[in-house]
Amino acid sequence: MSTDTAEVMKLKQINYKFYVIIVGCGKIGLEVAMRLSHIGFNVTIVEKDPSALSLLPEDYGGFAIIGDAAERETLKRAKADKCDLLIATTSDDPTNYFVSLIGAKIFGITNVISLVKNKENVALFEKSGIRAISPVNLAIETFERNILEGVESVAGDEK
Amino acid sequence: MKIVIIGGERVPYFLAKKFITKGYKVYFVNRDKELCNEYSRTLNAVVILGDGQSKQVLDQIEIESEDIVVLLTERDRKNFFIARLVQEYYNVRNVVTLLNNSENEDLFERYGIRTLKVTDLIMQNIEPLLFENEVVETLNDESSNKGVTVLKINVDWDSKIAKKTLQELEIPDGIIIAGIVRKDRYLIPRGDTIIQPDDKLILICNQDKSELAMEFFFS
Repeated sequence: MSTDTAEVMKLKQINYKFYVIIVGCGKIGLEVAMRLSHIGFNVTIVEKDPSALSLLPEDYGGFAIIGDAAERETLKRAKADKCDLLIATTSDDPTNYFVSLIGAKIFGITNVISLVKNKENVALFEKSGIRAISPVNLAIETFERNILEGVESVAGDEK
Repeated sequence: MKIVIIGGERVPYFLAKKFITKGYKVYFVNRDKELCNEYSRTLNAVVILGDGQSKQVLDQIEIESEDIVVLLTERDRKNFFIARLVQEYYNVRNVVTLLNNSENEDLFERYGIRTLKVTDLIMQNIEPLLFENEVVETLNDESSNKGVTVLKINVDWDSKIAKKTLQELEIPDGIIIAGIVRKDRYLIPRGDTIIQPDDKLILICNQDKSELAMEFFFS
């Protein structure tokens, strides 16, 4: 296992078991769940498709619930009322938006982060109090940074 | 003021027709190519082929805040998302949407989105039928093998017992009317209750009186 970062060390010192619900067991949801559970968070994955859950590695230390997170009964089973952080990672923006707001407004979850596929939707998510993560925007920013750093180093060499 | 109808299959067609005859300009957004082709031929409306949850598609309509947006897609989450988009982007005040899962009503309400609870509407129509059935079943379960029978009787329009109070009927001993199903209500009858045509009577009687009961209420 990789060594803990400073933030993780801090969390471990507090000794509070942060409870995280992750909606969607796709590539991103699965990886985030694995990492958070390894760090020591209490993690529950909610996924509609049972076959997607079978992809979870054996050393995943969290829980998994089969069901549609857009239905109240599913989030109740996941104990959303005790949740510290909800992460929506499905590939459908309306689903992520809907689940995020049910979590925030109905179950009172204070921290909600969502994946946003279509970057033009980022504004709507953020306006509604959801932290939006857009893979497209992240890629663009990373490219930009890399290119600018490259340009700087070329410019520096020429001096 | 424009009417923007997003999603749906046959309902938008008839909705659009009504709005058009009232003189409103109707915009119709749908992902179904064939449906769009058909509607652009048969309706005097602006038909836009595209996904209503995309801003580029919505921007083509130049929606204004006083327009009415009607959402008829199959999924609550999609209707909710589009409702929020038009509220945020164009400050639309009046959004009406189909709502399948009525437990979501609170969330829609929170954002001032009007809902049409289809599932509830259908249930409200079916519930009296279920209720009647449940009452009879419960009574049957309770009374089976105890010498008592439950009977269900429909009161015809020309029935002898219609328009009479229970008192006037002089129901024979060993037979009681346990309940009357009238339209969507279940009545517990009293002596002065008047039996109406189209009522359904639920009778409880001694087993040996069931023939007598049938005779009495059907003759």
